Order: sequence, then structure tokens, then C-alpha cells
Amino acid sequence: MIRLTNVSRTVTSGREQLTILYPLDLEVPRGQFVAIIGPSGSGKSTLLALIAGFDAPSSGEIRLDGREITRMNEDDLADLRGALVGFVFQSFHLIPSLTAYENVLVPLELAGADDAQERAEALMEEVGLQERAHHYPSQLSGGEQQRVAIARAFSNRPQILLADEPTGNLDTKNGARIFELLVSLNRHHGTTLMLVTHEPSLADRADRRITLNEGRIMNDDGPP
Amino acid sequence: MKFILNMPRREMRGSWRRLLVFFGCIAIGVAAMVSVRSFTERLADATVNEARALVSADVRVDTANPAQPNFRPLLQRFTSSRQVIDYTEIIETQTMVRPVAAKDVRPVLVELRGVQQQFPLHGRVHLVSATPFSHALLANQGAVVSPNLLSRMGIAVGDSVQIGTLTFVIRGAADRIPGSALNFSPIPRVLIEHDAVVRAGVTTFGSRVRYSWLFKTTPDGDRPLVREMAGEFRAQKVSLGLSTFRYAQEWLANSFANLEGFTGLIGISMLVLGGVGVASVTRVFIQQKVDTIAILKCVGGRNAPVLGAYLVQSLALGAAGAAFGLLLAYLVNAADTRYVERWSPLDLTPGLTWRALAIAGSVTLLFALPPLLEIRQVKPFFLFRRDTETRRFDRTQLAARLLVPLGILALALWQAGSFPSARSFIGTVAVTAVALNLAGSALIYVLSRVGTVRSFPVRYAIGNLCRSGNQTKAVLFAVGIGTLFLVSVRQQQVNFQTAYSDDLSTLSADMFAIDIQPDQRAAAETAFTTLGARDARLIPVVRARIVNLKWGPGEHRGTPQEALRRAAGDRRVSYTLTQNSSDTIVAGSFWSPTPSPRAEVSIEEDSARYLMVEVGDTMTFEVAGRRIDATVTSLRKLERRARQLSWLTRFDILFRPGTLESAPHMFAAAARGPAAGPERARLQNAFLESFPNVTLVDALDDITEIRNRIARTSSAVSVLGAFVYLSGVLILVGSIGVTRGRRLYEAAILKTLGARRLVLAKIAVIEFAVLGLVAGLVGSTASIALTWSLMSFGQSRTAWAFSPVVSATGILGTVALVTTVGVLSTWSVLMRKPLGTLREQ
Repeated sequence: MIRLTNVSRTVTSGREQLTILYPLDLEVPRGQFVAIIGPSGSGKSTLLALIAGFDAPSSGEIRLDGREITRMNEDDLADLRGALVGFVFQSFHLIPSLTAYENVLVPLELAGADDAQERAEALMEEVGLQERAHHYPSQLSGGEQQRVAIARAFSNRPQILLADEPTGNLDTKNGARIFELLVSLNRHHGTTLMLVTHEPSLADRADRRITLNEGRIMNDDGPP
Repeated sequence: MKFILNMPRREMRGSWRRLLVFFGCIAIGVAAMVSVRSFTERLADATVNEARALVSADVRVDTANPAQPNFRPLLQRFTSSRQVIDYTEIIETQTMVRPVAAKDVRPVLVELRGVQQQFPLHGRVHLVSATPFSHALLANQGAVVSPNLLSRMGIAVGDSVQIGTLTFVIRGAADRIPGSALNFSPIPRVLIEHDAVVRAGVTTFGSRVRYSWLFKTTPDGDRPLVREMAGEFRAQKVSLGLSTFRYAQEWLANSFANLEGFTGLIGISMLVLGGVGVASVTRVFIQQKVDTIAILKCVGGRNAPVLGAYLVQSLALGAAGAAFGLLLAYLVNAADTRYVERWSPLDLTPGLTWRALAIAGSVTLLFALPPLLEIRQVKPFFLFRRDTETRRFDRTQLAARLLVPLGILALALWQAGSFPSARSFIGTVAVTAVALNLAGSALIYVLSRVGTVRSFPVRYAIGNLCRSGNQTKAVLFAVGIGTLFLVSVRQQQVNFQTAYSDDLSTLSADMFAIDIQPDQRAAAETAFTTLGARDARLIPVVRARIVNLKWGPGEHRGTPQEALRRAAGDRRVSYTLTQNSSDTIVAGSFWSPTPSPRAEVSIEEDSARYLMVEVGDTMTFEVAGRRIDATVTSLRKLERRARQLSWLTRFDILFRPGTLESAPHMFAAAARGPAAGPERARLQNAFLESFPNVTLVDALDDITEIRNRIARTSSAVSVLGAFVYLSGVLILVGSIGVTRGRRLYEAAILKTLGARRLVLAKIAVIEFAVLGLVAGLVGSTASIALTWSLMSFGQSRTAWAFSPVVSATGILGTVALVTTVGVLSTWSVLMRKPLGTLREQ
């Protein structure tokens, strides 16, 4: 499902070259739940952003569902994300001018779904926010905002769900609820889930744990 | 598609406050442009419609000398021409009218017209009483007069007035009389029967009486008729004035060229100002929406639908702005109608509505597209970091930017209707844009090299202006361009007003007398002085006829025969030692102030052109049977309006003293009378009683009326100019809005570190004052170039004059305005508690 070959990422900061990810190989089969752990600055979020096609690697090749994405243009990548990938951010990244329901509706409309409204309503119900559907993000708690973000990520029934520290901005109780929601939706929809987390207890529930440190994979306890 | 239509609606819900400036720029831009177009179009329409009424005929033949042989039989022949539907004769002259009953009321100069039964051939005489005009009202020494004659003399319909030797009963008041120019002339009009004019004895020599034949033709029959008449007049050697309503139409159009030039500048200024405002707001808006755009791309948004959504939003705002602008234009035009008489309120026709929408759409598209294309540069990873990635060169964005000047040029051509004007306009704007960009770079360069400054506010303000992403150049650009137009419009307005007031101030007299006999000269001079008039001077009037013309070496157009044909007829000429102070010599040189037995003449520029004479030519005049060969030694330019108002004492042909003194003379007089009131009336009545044969012309009311009309028209135009100012402020608010987010955050941090509000206010004042000063200097300087080039290469008839006061006010005003708006827009930043801001970050 996901295959990375010799993928690295280097950025320029002022006059200096900063390597965030050193060349790495990684393969994640369909339906697997992978937890990525590691300290801050170890390259976890960058790895996820590269897989989602948000950013281009400095070297190497990334394949999603057999399609090579590193040579795709911005529009093709957008199409691919719309069809294949869902993403949940640590800081939610909901569109502040849209209601919770509309945030979920937008990816469906972008994909041209005929039943966009029905599906968005169903997803809002699935994350338990049907009563808060017409509230704006600023009127929702952190946990509620993240549930909206999860509903949005699942809106186009993606085969791959990437979650970048989805509980990082939440308290323990809300974090646990979000995690359970992600796991249950993952099981229910049969998606491949890659989740970045700092919490060992959450990582322990994954099928596989990959530890990153200073841009390198230090440990992978369940290679395919 | 659903997304493209739904997203703008949802975005507007939360962002409408931020987009108010966008809406305002379009609304004010459309309102101004529609008002300007409407103003000039209605002026042009009035010109066409009133041209026929101006002549009161399709073709008009006139002469001051009806005694020419063949005159009547020739004209009589044309009355049966197949193009002629109807014809009539009129006699016109200017004379004084006095009420019979009230002796202490000042006599009033009127335009007297004797008409026949068929008058008017075009238009209609509109009586104030709303009853239809009938020629019967004029029978048995009846008169129909302008209402202002009644109010000036304090009389009413039914009272009697003295005209020449006869008494007439006023039978009606008419506020519109065809054949009376554009009815802009403030001189009251009096209609009487055709033959009564002669009987009243007001057609004596020197009275400038005109005898006219008016012809009504079949549609477009005027052109063949005029051709036929001109040929026949030439063949028969008859000297007659020949005009059609088309000449009047052209003359009217030329009269308003100055005004059109000014309103045209307002129109195109609004176009660019509105555009700059739109571009500025869109840029800020897109900067604020980077996260939203990145999120949309993260969830599968391609560039096209995302860009499409924001484009639809901009166009929708543009359309709404246009609708509001139309409403605004309607209200402004209703207000203008109060100033410019007889204009109906703006008619919001489908054509005008579509045109306004087209303007709004074009401006929105042209100016919003380049900043909107920035959406293509937004990458999903912007949600993680912004600074390390290099921007990609976008050809589409470059093409869109290049389209802006081309689009402005096209719209300016459409608006200004003059390629040289549009070219100077675009050229100056482009140079100013480059100058502002360079000034911005220079400012940042200089400030970044300023050493350590002890004052914290100064140091921090310098830092704000220098740091990357600070928007210094963007604000400078918007404010500088705004200043350019604000100052240019003001400069043009000042030029426009100065031109008219200069014309009037060149008048050295407000009272004129004609027909003073040689033996009355000394007594008339003494009477003026003893009765309280100042600066009285008597000017000799000699009747002369041009009988031959010998061209000198100068370049001539036409043929000597044509020139002689044009020169035919009697003329009033004069002689003087010194040149009138308001005249300008445009060719040759005026004689030294000594008499000379060698005859020399100075000719007025337009007359010289008509007569096809140049300096060095010899003109042969016949004066009382004596032939005089006079050399043309100079051509003079007369002040336009002064010439119109003081025609009685100004002469197109002036002789050097030494030749005409022995010829039969009459004298005209010019003087400054007392201010309006009983004293002036007493002077005039006493003068007329002493010299009953003299016609006294009081121009004071005319001058006052013309001054008032200029002031009123100027006020109407100022309403249009106010749009430019309003738009400038909007642009400023929009530009400064760019930095509001950063200011909020920094102010919050500084407050937590112990900065007082006064310190923060000082930082804002210094920063904005510097921005205002640089933008004001560049914009104000560029306005000098813009107004000069518009005056030099455009259609304006007004001379360009640099006004240091306007430029200095422009610079200081920009500093004050930018500082005020800057500090006010920072006010909420100063007043806000830091915690709220920091929480939002």
C-alpha cells in the first residue's frame, strides 16, 4: 500500500542545509496500523507529510497504492489525496470561516460527490457531533474540533489515514476518546493507519511501531 | 462546481468585514465612473439637442448690412428650395431697457429680438405661466421677457418698459427662448415684433444689430442647402454669415472641453485607484487565507477550483459593489442636478447598468487576478512551515500582471477617449510605480544602515520599516499612487478654476457705453468721473472695410480670393498706443508707444486665421472713401471670457495711432461703476439723461452671474472629485490592514514585557509618518508630471500652471492622513489586552 524507497528530505535554512530525514526505506501493507514514535524534531511529521504528498522528498521514491507520487504535479497530488488519503493534524487545521458540518462537506464537494450532504451528515453523526454541526470551530472545544477533523479525514473513504499527533493538543480524557474513535473508524473502514504519537501507551496498541530519531529509523518492530 | 459556488458564500459569511474595503473600492469606483460618464454624456446630449434651439433653425444666414445689393432677392430664391420646409426673419441687437414707472431703477442690458409669426422654427418659447406662447402676445407693442429682467427691475407682467423710443407692455415671462445660445447667457432676453425693433430706433450704427434669415430644412437637408448657398453667395459676391446647427453643436462641445478633460481625469483616476484598492485588499485577504487554502489542498483541492472559488467571491463582491455604486451614482447625480440646471436625474437604463457591471467586472478581474494567482503558490506543507521553500516562477501570474497596464490603457481610452491623454496617463503611472518601488528599496536600505538609536520607539519603528515581510513597499505603492491621483485631481481643479477667474479678473471695466459722438467725448469723460465711476476711458471707433489684401512672405493657406471674400463687409476698428495688459502677442511685435504716419495693424489671432493674414501682409482698408495700406505687424491673443464680456470696447483690428485720427469717429467707453445698488442706478440714469443717444451697457450682473455659474458647476464637479478622496482613504485603510495581524501580536508581546500604550503609539506615529512622507513626496512630485502631460498632450484648453501650495498640501496631507489612519487602525491593537491576542496565536 505505502512504499518508500531511499526517501530523504533536506531543507535550506538561511545558508545552511538541514537534513530532516536521512535516506530511508519503508513499506506498509494495506490495513496495517502503524505507530511512529520518537522525540521532537526526529522527522515524524515530515515523514507523514511526504507520504501525504504535502511535500516533495529531496531524494527517493514514494508509492501509494502502486502509484509513484514524487513526480506528480500539485493538482494530481490533490486528486490523489482526495481519493486515497485522509489526514488528521495535531492542531486540527479546520477552516475557521466554515461550520463543523461544512468542514466535513468541503472534501466531498471538491471530489464532486453527488451525495455529499448525506455523507457529511452521516459522518457528523458517526463522530457524535450532529448537535454541533452548525457551530464554527472557534465555538467548539479542542476534542470536538479534532472529531470534526477526523470526520473530514474520513469523508472521502480514504484507503490511507495519516494522523500527526492527533491527541497532542488534547487532555488525557479527550485524547483517549479521539484515539478510540480513530482506531474504531480504522477498523470499521479498513484503512491503513499511520499515527504519530509521543505516548507509548497509544503506540502499544498499534500493529507496528517505528521509532525515529534525528531523521533516521532507529527501530521497526514489525516489518511486513 | 458545487464547491466553487458554495465556498464563496460560506467565506463571505465570516470575512465580510475584511472585504468591506474591496466592496467600497468597487462601489465608489463605479459610482464615480458612472457619474463622470453620465455628466459628460448628458453634457454632450444637451449640446446636440440644444444646438438646433441655439440657432433656432437648421440653417441661419445673417448680416450686419442688409443694404447689400442682391441680398433679399438671393435669399428669397432659397425659400423655395426643395430642402427648405419653412423660413422666417429676425432682427437682434443688445440695448438697454428701463421701466416706465420706476425712475430710480437701474436700466438693464437686454438681448432684444424682433421676430415674425413663424418664430421659432425649432424648439418652443416656454412661458413661466405654462400657457402656450403665441405671436399675438407681441402684437401692438407687446413684449415677452426673461424672468430675470422682471426680478432685476422689480416689475411684473402687465407693466411697461421703455425700449429705445417706444414703450412696450410686458405680456409674458419666458424662461426658454430658442435661438438664445445654450440659454447659459445671463443677459435677459426680450422678444418683440420684428418691425417694432426698427421703429424703436435701436438699429443705428454701432449698435451691432444683426439681421437673420432662419431656414428649417428637411432631415439632413442642411448640408446640401448650405453648399448651394455658399456657392451662390460667392458667385453673387454677397457677404453673408452662414451657419448651421452643426457649427453650434461643435462650438458647444468645445466650450466644455476643459470640463470634460477634468472629469475624464477623475474617471480614469478612479479606475486605477479602485483597482489598486481591489488589488491591495485581495492581496491582504489571500495572505490571511493561506492556511485555509493549504487545508483545502490537503483535503484534495486542486488549484483550479480553489482559485475559482476565490475568483467567484471577488466577482460577486464586484457585482454587489457595482450595484451599490449605481445607487450612489443615482444619488450624486440627483445632487448634481441642483447645481447644473435642467438636468434630469440619472436614468438607470439597462445599458448603463450593464456598462457599470462590465467596468466593475473588468477592474475586479484585472486587479484581483494577480494577487489571487498567489493561491497557486500555496502548498499544503505551508501548514507546517513557510520560510524555507523557494517560490516558483509563475508565468500565468506574470501574464496577469502585464495585463494590468494594458487593461488600464484600454479602459482609460474608453473613459478618456483620447489616446495622447491615456498614453501620458499610463506612462506617468508606470514611472510613478517604478519610482515608488525604488523609493521603498532606498528607504529600507538607508534605514537598515542607521546606527544604534537611543530612543526605543524610533529604533523599533525603524526596525518595523526594515524587516523582511514588513509591507513597507506595498503600503508605499498604494499610498503613493493614491497621492498621485488626489493631488493631480486637486491640481486640475485649481487650474480649471483659476483659468475662469483669471479670465474674469482681466476685465478692467464693468460698465460700457457706445455711440458717444466726438463732440460728447469730453463731457462723457467728465460725467463718468463726477458720477462716481472709476478708470473711465474712451476708445475711438472707426468704421472700415477691407478692400484688398497683399500676402507677404509668410506661409498662407487658402487663396487670396477666398481671403478677400471672407474679409468683405464693414468692420469696427480702433487705434491705440499701448497693448491691453490681458492680451498676448503671439506673432510679430506690438508697436512702440508713439504715433506713426506709416499704417500698421495688429490683428486678433482667430480673426487673422479666418482672414488668412500673417505678420508681414499688407491689408488695404477703405475708411470714409480713403484707402489705407496697413502692414500687419503683430497677432494678438485675447483672453477668452474677457473678450466675450467686453466686446464693446475690444477690437479685433487695432491701428497704430497716426493714421485714423482724421477719419469720422465715434467713441465707446469702459469704466468701473460703483457696487450694485442705488448709487450705480443713479449714475446710469443720470448719464443716460445727459446723453440720450448713448447706449449704456451694464456688465456687472453678467459678471456676477457668470462667477456664480462657474462656482456652481465647480461645486458639481467637486462632488465627483470627492470620490477620489474617499477612495484614497479606503486604499490606505486596506493597505495598512496588511500589517494589522503582525502589529497585534507584537503589541501583545511588548505589553507583556512592560511597554506602555504611549510607547506603542509613538512607534506607530513614527512608522506611518515616514511612510506618508516618502509616499507623499513621490506621489505629489509625480502629479506635477501627470497634470503637465495631460494638459500638454490632452484635449484641455486650459493652460497648465504649477501650484506649489497644492503640492505642499499634498505632501503634508498625505503625512497627516497616513499617520492618522495608521494610528487609528492600530488603536484596537493598543487597547486590546495581550492575553486575547496571544491565545489566538
